[in-house]
Amino acid sequence: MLLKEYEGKELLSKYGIASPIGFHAMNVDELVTAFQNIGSDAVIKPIGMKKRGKMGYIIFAKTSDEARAAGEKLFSIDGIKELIIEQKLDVENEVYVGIILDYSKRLPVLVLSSQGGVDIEEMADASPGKIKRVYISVLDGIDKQSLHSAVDSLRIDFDYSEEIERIALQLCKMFIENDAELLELNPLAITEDGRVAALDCLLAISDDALYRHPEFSALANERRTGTELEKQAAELGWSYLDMDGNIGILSSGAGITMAILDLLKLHGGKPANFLDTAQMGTEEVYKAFELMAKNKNAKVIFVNIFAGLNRCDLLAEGIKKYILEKKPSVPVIVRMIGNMEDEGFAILRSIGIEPIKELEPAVIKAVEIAQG
Amino acid sequence: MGIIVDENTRVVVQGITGNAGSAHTKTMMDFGTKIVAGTKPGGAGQEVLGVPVFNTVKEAVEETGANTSIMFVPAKAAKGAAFEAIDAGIKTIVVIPEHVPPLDTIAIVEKANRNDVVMVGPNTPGIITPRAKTKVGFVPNQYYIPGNVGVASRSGTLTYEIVSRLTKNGIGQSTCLGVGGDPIVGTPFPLAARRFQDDTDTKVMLFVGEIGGSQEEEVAALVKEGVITKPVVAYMAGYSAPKGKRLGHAGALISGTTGSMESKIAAFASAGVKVAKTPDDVVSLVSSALNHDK
Repeated sequence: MLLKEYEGKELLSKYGIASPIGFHAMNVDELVTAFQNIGSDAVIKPIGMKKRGKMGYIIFAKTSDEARAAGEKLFSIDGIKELIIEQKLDVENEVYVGIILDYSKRLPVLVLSSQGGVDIEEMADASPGKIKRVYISVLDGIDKQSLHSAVDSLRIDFDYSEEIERIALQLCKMFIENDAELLELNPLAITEDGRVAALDCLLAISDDALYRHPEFSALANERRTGTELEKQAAELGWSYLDMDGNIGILSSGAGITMAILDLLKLHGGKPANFLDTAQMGTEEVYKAFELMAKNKNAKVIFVNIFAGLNRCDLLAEGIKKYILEKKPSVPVIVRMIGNMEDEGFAILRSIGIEPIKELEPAVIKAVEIAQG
Repeated sequence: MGIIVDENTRVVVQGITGNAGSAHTKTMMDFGTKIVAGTKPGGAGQEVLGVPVFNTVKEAVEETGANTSIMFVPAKAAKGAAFEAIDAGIKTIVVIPEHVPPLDTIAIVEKANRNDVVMVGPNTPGIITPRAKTKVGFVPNQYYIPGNVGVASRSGTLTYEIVSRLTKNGIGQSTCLGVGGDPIVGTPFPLAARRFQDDTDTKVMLFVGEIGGSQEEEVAALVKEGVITKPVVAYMAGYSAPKGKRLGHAGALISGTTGSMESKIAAFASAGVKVAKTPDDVVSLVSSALNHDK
């Protein structure tokens, strides 16, 4: 989960990394009050928006009226719900410090650049020489000598390079202790009066590690995005997506579900939704149908059963139970193959469904019905 | 013969007394796997399906000569279980659970590398070498027959779908490796490719990939550089995946252009690797690669 800028900065301060005095505001009045607390020169920016600088959404204010005008402008823009207002610092120089997971090297990597406030990926392509990387061992931490040389090679004034080195070390600690996936100070500013402060903070925590960070997991629950059905499915531990087509897809396993979506597209069909239950049994199939049926856009429901570890007959029982009890008006196409296949076929035939063994013909059949 | 697991594999099942642990111990034994021990803290003295249970992996190794561990433990216990196995001298670990925190996975990868331990997973259905009658995982036994196609896959269910087609057409497998569905895994495609290259039983390699990450591109690069000289066939899922939405596997998330299907197809094309468009196409591509090889 991605934390908000001010939440990231709060955590930074616990690790001894400074950022400008600031507040966040949900409306214009809150913004003006916050400006008065800051007193004078302030910078106002939307939260959680990429390229906000380029879009002209970072606004400076010297007076309450200017702050109010900035608030009115920004809150009227689609997608802006929350602003951050901070004391404006007199910046002499900006650098970039970030840590990301390098999936290929399979280690976290500290990335440093003498140029901050830029798109680091663009810079990596345009002038790779300006970027230094130091890999971090999760077992041993970062190698201090390598960090020192990397900071040194940025050729920043010595007075500040020591502080940047300290900040980088603290960031490594913060990254690992909080199970971060991404931690970026872009930019980290050196001010005219000699301070080093983070003007922005991007911090993402691994979803799979939220269980050991209760403070973040509470936030994640509050902020769970998606449609009502997507949230319901998430609570059952299923992967579910509402989409804009008219074929419902019920399958088990991420890879095969993606492959079915691909086949559907290949044959001109469009999914209304899909549900990937990690594992299926009689009860799960029944519940899965109940959930799927709540999306009213599906003209046909396609079920894929490949019973390698489970049994076709048990899953067919689940389908039978649902159809006899709920009498859905939407036709159901079942692709079924695997353990106890003949028994499964017999059960489905008893309720008037003719299962199809091969995947692609079954998908084509579903597309035909949807287009029919 | 085959990669990573073979007839010398002696397995300890960590978490053998749990539902999944005991159920899959049975299917592994049914396939012919030498399951020599299980562990469960405080469970010493019990037996599961005739397999002795020990408190620790160390005791299991000392008493039975186990050299491979499979972990049926919750995600939060994965790192501890893996460290225990490595410290006990186990040389191959198969980490089954899904949702292991990425930094835990990285810690296991680092420790495994330092101790010359081969790591498979996490979020994997395991690995199977049919000729050696050895399965360390939970893939359905009936779809695997001995042969010369080395299969590596990022998805369990998709592998069964595809391997069952190969088997139905009489095309056997040297080893089928489920690399795991996470962005970071112990034996990703490029490492698997190097092992298949060195394996005398493998004549053709099949990579079952998906969008996200760069494993497919890395294999393509190895082919292009001439490190991999055996014929390679690929199939990938996710042509129609919506951008930025997670479809199930954490590894299958596209951010920006990294990991896009276009990038993977282009990489394989420039390396001359044939890419199957549908699961059915895989059979004909693999079969013609095998025939060319003869």
